[in-house]
Amino acid sequence: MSIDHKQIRDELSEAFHLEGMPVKQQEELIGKMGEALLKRIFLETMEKIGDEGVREYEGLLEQEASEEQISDFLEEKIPGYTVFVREIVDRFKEEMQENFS
Amino acid sequence: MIENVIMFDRFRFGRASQVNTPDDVSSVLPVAPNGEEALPEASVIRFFGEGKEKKDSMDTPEEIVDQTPEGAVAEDFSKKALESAPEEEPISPKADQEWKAKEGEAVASITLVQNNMVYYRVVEPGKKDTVRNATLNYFLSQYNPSKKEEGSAEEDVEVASIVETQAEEAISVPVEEQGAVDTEEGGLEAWKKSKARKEDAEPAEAVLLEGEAKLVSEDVTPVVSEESGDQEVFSKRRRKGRRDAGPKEDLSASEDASPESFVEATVDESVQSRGEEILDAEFEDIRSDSREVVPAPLATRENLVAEVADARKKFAEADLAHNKAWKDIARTIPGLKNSKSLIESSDLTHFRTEYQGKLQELRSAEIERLKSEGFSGKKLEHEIEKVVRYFQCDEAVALYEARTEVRKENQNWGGKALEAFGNIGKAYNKLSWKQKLVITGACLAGTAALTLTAGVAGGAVAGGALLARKFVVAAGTTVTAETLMKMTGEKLRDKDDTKKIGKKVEKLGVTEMDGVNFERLSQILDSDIAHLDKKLQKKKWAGILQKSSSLAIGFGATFGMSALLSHPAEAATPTETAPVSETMKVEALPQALTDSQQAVDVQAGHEYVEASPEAQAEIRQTTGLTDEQLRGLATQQEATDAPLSPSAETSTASAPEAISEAQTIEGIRGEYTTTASDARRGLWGVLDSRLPEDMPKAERVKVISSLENAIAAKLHDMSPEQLRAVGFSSGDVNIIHPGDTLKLGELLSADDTKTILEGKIILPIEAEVPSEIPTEAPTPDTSVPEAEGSVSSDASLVESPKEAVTVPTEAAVTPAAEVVAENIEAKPEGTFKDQLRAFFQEHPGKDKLYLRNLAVFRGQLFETPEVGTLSGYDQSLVQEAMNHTEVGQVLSDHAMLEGNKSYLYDKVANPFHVSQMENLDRLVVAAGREFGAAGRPGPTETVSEYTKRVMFLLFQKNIDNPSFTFKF
Repeated sequence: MSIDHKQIRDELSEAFHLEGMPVKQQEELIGKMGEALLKRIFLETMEKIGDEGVREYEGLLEQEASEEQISDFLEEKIPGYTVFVREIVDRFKEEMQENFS
Repeated sequence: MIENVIMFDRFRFGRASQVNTPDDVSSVLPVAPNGEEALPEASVIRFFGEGKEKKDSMDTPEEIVDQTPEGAVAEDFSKKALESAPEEEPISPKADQEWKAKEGEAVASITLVQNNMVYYRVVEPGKKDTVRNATLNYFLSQYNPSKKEEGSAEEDVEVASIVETQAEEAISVPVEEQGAVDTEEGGLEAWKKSKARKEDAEPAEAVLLEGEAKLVSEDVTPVVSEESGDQEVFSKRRRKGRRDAGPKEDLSASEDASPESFVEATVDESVQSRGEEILDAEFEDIRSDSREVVPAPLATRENLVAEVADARKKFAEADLAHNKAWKDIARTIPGLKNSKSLIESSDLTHFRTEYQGKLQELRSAEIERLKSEGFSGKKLEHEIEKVVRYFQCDEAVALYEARTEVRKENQNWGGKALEAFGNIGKAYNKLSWKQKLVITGACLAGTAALTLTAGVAGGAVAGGALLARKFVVAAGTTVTAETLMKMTGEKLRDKDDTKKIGKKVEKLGVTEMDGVNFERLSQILDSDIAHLDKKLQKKKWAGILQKSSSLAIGFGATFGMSALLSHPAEAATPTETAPVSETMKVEALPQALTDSQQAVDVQAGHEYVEASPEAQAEIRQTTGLTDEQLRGLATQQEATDAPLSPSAETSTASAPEAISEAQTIEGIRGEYTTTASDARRGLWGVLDSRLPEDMPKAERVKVISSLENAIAAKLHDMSPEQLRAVGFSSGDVNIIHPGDTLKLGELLSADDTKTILEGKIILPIEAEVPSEIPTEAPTPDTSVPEAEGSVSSDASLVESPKEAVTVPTEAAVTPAAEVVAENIEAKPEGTFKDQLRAFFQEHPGKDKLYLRNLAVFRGQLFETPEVGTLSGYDQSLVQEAMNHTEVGQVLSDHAMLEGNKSYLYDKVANPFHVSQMENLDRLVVAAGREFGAAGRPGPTETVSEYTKRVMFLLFQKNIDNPSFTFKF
């Protein structure tokens, strides 16, 4: 299926009140938001699993674990990992919307 | 000619202020600047020659000597300063052991002066308030029993030694130098090198004023404040080489649990704590001074951007340290009431001010640039508006990232984790803007407050956090293209549906991938979006798209509406009733998104049970759900393919509604394996989880109550063996164990279930209920005083006598719903009042005791440690919340929160904090166990009514049995 990038951009811009900006700046901001969010998710994941968990995680990376193994590991350490991630995203949006408005 | 003045004040917590003329000195000093005595003794004022760059660092004595032409003055200062603080002198080790927390005292207020220094007021019965100061860790060690150290003599400490530490901690490092100083190298040496570099570039003709130098040299002498008359002993201690007390060092210092210093001083009750005074009276000056941004001369945009970034990071560091400190304090003293004094640390204020100042400079420069490009008038205004807007948003993201970065730097990660973190940025930035757009949109759309109505909308809505999760998971992997191909190939051979996967792989173009698999990931994301969208389209029957659509309508006006409630239909139509905070509005939106996620999850559950083990593994990975969760989802009817049940076919409801009802009936009656959460919440929770999420709250409570009553009636005469046969392994309907497989279909016929869902009300079994105990939710009672700390002496607790309730003795399950309803309607209002009245007439004088107990009871329920530490939370709101919030609403929201912590509920309908919900939930369970149906809330019973009633039950029981205790 085709993806309507323009509409996604427009709706994200509307959500975060970026409408008045040049399109290029809108895209730039949206792009930055994604990166910031993904990094934060990784950070909070590591914080959540703790030092010992990070060591285990790094051990898996040393062994060149697959995505599936990593995913299983995170799910084991953080049951309901998707929910955990969702909460981070929620907080991110709240923070951005507060700051943008 | 003197052009610039820099004032340093160690007792102002390391801040450095700028003024432009000598006259400006008066504007930044807290007392008259003309007399030497009036100057803060720890201040150093330096004047720089014309044209020299302002210097905003705190000097060591050696440094002052180095830079001061009037060497004699500076030398004199330096000598005295060094004499006052020998290089190797430890910080009063004796004092460290002398003060200990005492039994019976309580901390009334806290002021966090710096991140590892606190002032706090101690209240002790029969004694004057005491203000103390200590390092944060020492403070925590004294008030946290788990960390409490062995005490020694309780003696006042020599005050000078305390303030020495304060002065030392207050030494600040200029913003641009903090990062450059290598602490391993030694503060002074590193700082000197840094200094030398600067001076090579710009030699200064600094002048140290004689008067100020003299003051500094005399500062070991205590002085008395002219303002308060209290003994304000200031002293300082300069430790050679000590340069940096910035946030980073503070943070590391806070890890050290050993006490460094403390002070105890007895003060009059009317006197504010030292920290509060200083911060309120003086630091405000500093803040306002610092906001007077001196135009940055000839700074390039690049320089300004770098300075903003530096200031931002410093602020983020201070913020992190500040938050950590307060968290520690809040954990140690959760009941701390005096939030007024819980002000932010001086470090944080300072760095925020610096950061804001730099931002302002940068924005000003941008505006100047616009002007230079020839814009003017309205066009200029428009362009300026755009620039400012962009800065606002861009900076918000940048600050968020800075906080992430600072937190990352405080982790004990090894190389691999750091590498994975770095991979995210690297790989992400390789993506095209379109890919970034899709990823960001999908991540944001999937969880809350954002609906995308474009073709990708459904997938994005359903995918949500899952896509972010995938990205993060992939960050750590170092799968090469070759390895990935091999792995995928192996998977292909094992797949049941090789064609499906093959197409997917082909679409992904795996062969073109490089070592970092983010390109692949971005393609997977596109693929998943499409896939999920397809799934979502199948769920139209449930009204998902309608909900999403209505949500989208509401979303457009989210930020301007007075209120948006959680129900999608309401989201489209803002209510005008009550003001709702911005946060509430944001939180209130995503009900439909949750629904859509649920629908996709159900679909995944069905696919899971039919899949091979390998495919199941993939589904687990894709959905992030466990085997158990997926199996549970599979028991939920998949709407699209569901045949109409006979009863549904005969229903007058529309087809989708009939399908939904049929599914609901089977969902309730189907076998169900209980979880730990169910075990805690009991049968109510099980039934709650089986009902459609979109069922209105009031209806939900009625249905659950009736279902529970109907089941209880069937179970009433069952033996423990029979109970076990239908899944209650405990043999007790009130006790559910995790893993019980409840066969509610054997207790509830489809017809019974259907009639209950259609509105039939089933009352609880009444036969066991003592006649004096109310059996259903009473009507709101306005005559019982709300016992918030006050006790009424009026024994007349009811407005007027009412007839006693005629309690049915038949089992509740009856096909004649109308008859039951009539019984309810026929009951006179004021049943509970009558009960109270009759009881207190029989037990004169007990009403006061009842009210007192009610107040305590509610305090136990709702004055939780969590709300005690919430800023802006007003306990007085609890009373209002109790009066209008239905217990069923709270239980329902709590149940949803247990299953999904990001569940967003209507905070207008239910203003309780989750910790309060938790307590109420436990009370309902415990009261149900203790009193059976009478202990459970009625369908529309408010929290106020319910707590009164339960307290009454407890009260009665306690009078009958004085040894009775009730735990929840």
